[in-house]
This record gives sequence, structure tokens and C-alpha cells, in this order.
Amino acid sequence: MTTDTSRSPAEPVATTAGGNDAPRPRALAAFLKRYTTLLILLALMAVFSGLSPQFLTSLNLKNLLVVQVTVCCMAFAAILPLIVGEFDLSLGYALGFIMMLGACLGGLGCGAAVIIPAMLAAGLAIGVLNGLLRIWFNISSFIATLGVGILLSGVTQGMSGGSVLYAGIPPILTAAGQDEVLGLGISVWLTLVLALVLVFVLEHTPFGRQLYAIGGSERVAFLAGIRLNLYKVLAFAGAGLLVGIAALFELGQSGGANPLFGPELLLPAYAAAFLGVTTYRPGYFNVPGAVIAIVLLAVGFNGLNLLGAPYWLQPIFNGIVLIVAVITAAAEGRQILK
Amino acid sequence: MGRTEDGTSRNGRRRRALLLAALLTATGPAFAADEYRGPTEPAKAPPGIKLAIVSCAASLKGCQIPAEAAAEAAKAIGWQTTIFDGKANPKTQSSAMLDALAWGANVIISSSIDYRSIQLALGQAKKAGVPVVSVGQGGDTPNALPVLEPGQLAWAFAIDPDNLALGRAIGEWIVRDAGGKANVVAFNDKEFDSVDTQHKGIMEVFAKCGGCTADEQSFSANQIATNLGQQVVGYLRAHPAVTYVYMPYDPAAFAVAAALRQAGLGKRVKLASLLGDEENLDLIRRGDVQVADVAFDTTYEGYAAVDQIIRHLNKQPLFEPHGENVPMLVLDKTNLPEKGNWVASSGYKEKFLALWK
Repeated sequence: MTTDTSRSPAEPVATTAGGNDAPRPRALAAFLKRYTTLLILLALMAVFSGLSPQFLTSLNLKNLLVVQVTVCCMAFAAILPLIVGEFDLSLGYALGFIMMLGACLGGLGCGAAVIIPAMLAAGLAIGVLNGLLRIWFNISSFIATLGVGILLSGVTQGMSGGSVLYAGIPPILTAAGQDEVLGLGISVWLTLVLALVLVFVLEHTPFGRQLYAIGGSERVAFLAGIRLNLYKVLAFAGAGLLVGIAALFELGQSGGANPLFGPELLLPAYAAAFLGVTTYRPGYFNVPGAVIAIVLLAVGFNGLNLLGAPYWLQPIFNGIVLIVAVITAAAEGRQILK
Repeated sequence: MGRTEDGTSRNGRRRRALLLAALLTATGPAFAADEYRGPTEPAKAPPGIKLAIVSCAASLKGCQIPAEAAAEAAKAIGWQTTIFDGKANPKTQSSAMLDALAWGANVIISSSIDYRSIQLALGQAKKAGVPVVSVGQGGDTPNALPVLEPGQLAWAFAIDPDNLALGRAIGEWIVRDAGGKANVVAFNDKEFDSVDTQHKGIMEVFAKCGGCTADEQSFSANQIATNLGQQVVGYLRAHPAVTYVYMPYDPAAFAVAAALRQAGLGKRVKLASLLGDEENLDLIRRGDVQVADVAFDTTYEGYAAVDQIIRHLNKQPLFEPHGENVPMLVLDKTNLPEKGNWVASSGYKEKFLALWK
């Protein structure tokens, strides 16, 4: 290697060993901080590849990704309210309700042209309701969304009659959930497109930047002329719409709607959203970070499964990863404040 | 679906006489619970098989005991086996089944998982040519076969007790215990086909009991940890004449027993349930609210699953019924095992292993 003497010493450039290498460790440290979760993921993949010959097979990786699409969409849904400083605890219940709605409509003989828009509209309506309860009635988002969620769980059970509904699910939904294109599940491709759209909207449009501004400081955002209430309702509405998409994928994958399903996906979605704060844009809720976090947790589950690890090791693994990542995020946050 | 005896006798007097005879003699099915009624045709176990077992939840005995029994049987014949944990969540169950495929399984046993919620995994298994066999979820003989939607997938075959007979057995025990004048509330959880079939069995018995009154109520599994106890207590306060409560599976009965005890209703009503979990049998031993439990041998289910898999792999005819006559018995204070779960003492493990040599 040679030293590039044409650059200023202050610039972070590649240098030979023994030269002026101060900028390089700083850049490396910044990179490591920014992609800690990704590095843990790669390290974990290397370990599991060494221990299990089945891990790094295309079948396994394909399967690993396809079952994560619902959690991914749920994490995206969690992120939108989190960005503006709010929580949506209705997400899991809403997923169950929207799936049940789709299954009920299928059972009544409705086709995809009715079911898909109805499910998306239901998600949107739930999100708007959450937003209005938060803004108009000034109820804490914890309480408002929890109340809506519990209400939805009752409606879901009532609609189901206590049974799993599976009749009349449109073939287009099951195809989207279960079939493959170019070696990956259709739902995986669609989730990637959704992630890219969200990254664009959140990071490259005034709307997205204003959402982050509200989460940074409501007062400053208000003084800057941002319509706080409108944007918060939109954030909740967006979350509802994303849950609607998650419900479409899940109904297609599972092939039926169970009246008890949904709430258990709330915590994985929030875990991914919080874990995602450590990566890509450290200190901020962000979509790529959440995706990496979901893949990390999924790799842990999958790898331990392939190794035949006892069932109680998986939650221990997930807990450790979450704690380590949040500690990293907290350190990163302090760094940002400095 | 279902067997009904309504058409067997049009003469009311004769029917009443038959019922009385049944009340006097029946504490379960019409055969000795410890009698071996499984296959007798040998089936040599093929070598080098990788058997994956996906348990609905490692923390639930009803899922885990058959899974561990199948693993024990598979290891005894030299098969490689791993148990995957479905964590009581259809999403994780589907994911675990996909992991089982990636692990290279030749056959998968699904323990107490609903096929209607894991279509993605069943589709992948079908593509890979890996048969998925069910234990503990109904859907095969001696129970009714599932009615599938176009494109919907189910099991290659399934191992289950006779669910209608289980319901009838506990119903007959209640009628007998009440001297033919039972006032019962029977709870149902329609989420599970097997439970719904058992419920039909118990209600069939009450319908034929002239001196009995029976009401039906529903609940869902997620209420067990929250308000199921309150629901049952509330019902009993509103219906003071009810003296028997039937819960369709033991974890629910255990929660209800605590609620009844706390509400001071433990002496007024008798609780009966189904599964034969150890903690519920302890309640019966202590005379604590629960009085009866219809148990079936879940370890036998695991062995029966491996037996049918061997026959399937050998392309031999499967044993009929596919459930291989899982042993069952109504347990009360008079016939409880001294400790632990009830296990049939027919020596079935040795019999199965001998068939597979």
C-alpha cells in the first residue's frame, strides 16, 4: 500500500501503517458504532455456518426470510408513531382483527377485489381512530391504543365465533404469501419494496423530515410551523395501513385467521424497532435498522433451532441481544448529545 | 362426522334401559384401558431417517409429552431426531417447521398444531416431499376427516384418541356420579377441532339423560390467564342450581378450580375435565374442587406416530384406525395412579419396539 500525500492530513483517508492514521480509527469506530447490529449479525451467521452445515443453504435462508415479513411490516408500523414520540399498542390486536375481517369476508364469498381493499381500509381506519383519540381527546397514546386494541380483540373473537376461519381466502393472497419469484418469496420482495418506499418517504421527503422533527422536539417543530396534530394522526394512520399490509401477508401465509393470533407480535415488532435504533441511523428509529434487527433475531432463532438447542435458550439469546444493543444505543445517544 | 346412536333404537323404553345399563357400567370406553389394541403386524424400521418433531409449545405438557415420546421411540430405532419449539404461536410453529425442513428432515411430526394456521410450512413440506404427520389435533380416523378448502393442505395422517368417545366417557361418569340427575354446565373452546368433537360427545350423553340439565358455554384459551375463572364464577352465581362444571382441558380446569376455591364455590360444585395432567390429578387426590378427569396416554401417541411413520415409509398399509386406539380412562379418586400421570400398563413400548425390529 502507498500513502496518498495529495490529501490534507485532516481528511479521513487511507494511510500506511505507521503514517498519520488518527482519522482512520475514528472513521472505523464510527462505522463500528453505526453498524454494531449488522456486525453482530454477520458474526452470528459465521458461527452458525461453522456449526451447522444446513444453516447457509438457500432453502434455509429463503425460509428464514419469508416468515419474517409480517414482523417486518409490524415493526415498520411501530416505527411511525415512535418517530413522532408516540406508542401504538393496538398493533397486534389490529393485526388479528384485520385478518379475521378478511377471513370473514372470504367466508361470505367476497373476492380479492373486496377483501384486500377492505383489509387495508380497516387498518387505515384503526390508525385514524387511534390518532384522533390521541389528539382530540388528549389521551395518552398508551391508553388510547391499548383501549382500541382490547376493543378490537373482543370484536375479533365475536366475528370468529371462537373458531379458526379459513374458508374462501382468495388465491391471490395465498400466492402472495406462499409462492416464490426469482428464488425468494413474493411477500419478501413486496416487503423489500415497502421498506424502500418507507426509507424514501421518511428520509428524503419534507413529510418524513417533519415527522422526525416532531419526535426531536415538539416545541421546536411547532415553532417551525409544523402541524403537529395532523402529522401525528397521519403517523398513526400510516401505522394502521402497514398493519393492514401485514395482515394481508399473514393471512396469505397462514391460510386462516385464528381469533387468538396477533397480540404476540407486538413485542417482537417493538423489539425490532428499538434494536434498529442502534444501526444505520444510530439514535433514531429507522427502517433499515429494524430490518437488520429482525434478521438478527431470526438468525438467532433459526441457528439455535438447527443446532437443536433447548427451547429456553432462545429467549435468553433474544434478551441478551436486545440488552446489548440498547446499551450500545444509549452510549451512542450520549455521544450524539455531546 | 361423528357417530350418533339416535337411530339405533326408536323405542323410548328400550333406549332408557340401554342408558341405565350404560350408567351402571360405563366409566370409559367398552374395553379395558390397559389392554393393548395397537398394531400387531411387524413393520421393520428403515435406517438413516431424520425425524423432526415440532411441538406446539415446549412449555405445555400436552404438546411436549407426545413429542418427547416420539423422540424416545425414534432414538430407540437409531433415527436422528430433534424437537423444535413452536412456542404456542402459529407464526413460530410455521417457522419451526421450515427450520425442520432446512435441518433435512425426512419426516416431520407436528404435535398439537392446527394445520389451518401453518399453510406456508405445509406447502414447503409438500414441495420438498416431506410428509407431515400430526399428533393431538384431530383430523383422521377414528375421528372425522377434515373438509379442506381448494388448495388447502393438511396432514399425511394423524394420531389421535377417539375424541367423541372421550367426551362420552366423561359425560357418562358425570351422569353416573349424579345418579342420573346431573345439572351441568359444559364449557367448550371451538378453536380446537378435537375439543369441539369431545364437546359433542359429552353433550350427546346429557341429551340422552332424561333427568339431567345441561348448558353450554364458550371461552377461548387466552382467557385462562385472565378472566376465565371470573366467567365461570359469574355463571355459577347466576345459576345456583348447577352442580357440575366441565372444562374441556386441564389447564383451563386448573385455573377454574382456583377461582371456584377463592369464591367459596369449591364445595358446591364438582369440576370435571379432560387430558389427565398431573396437577389436575393432584386436585382430585386432595379432594380439591376437581373430581374427575378423562385421561388418554399421550406417550402412546408418540409411539403410535413413529409406528405409522415406519409403515408409511415402508409403503405398508397404515393401521386402522390411524389413531391406533390411544388408551383412555376416566380417573377419579377410586382409580388414580399413586403419583404422576396415568400411563397405560399394557407394555406397549416393548410391543412397538418388537414390531420395528
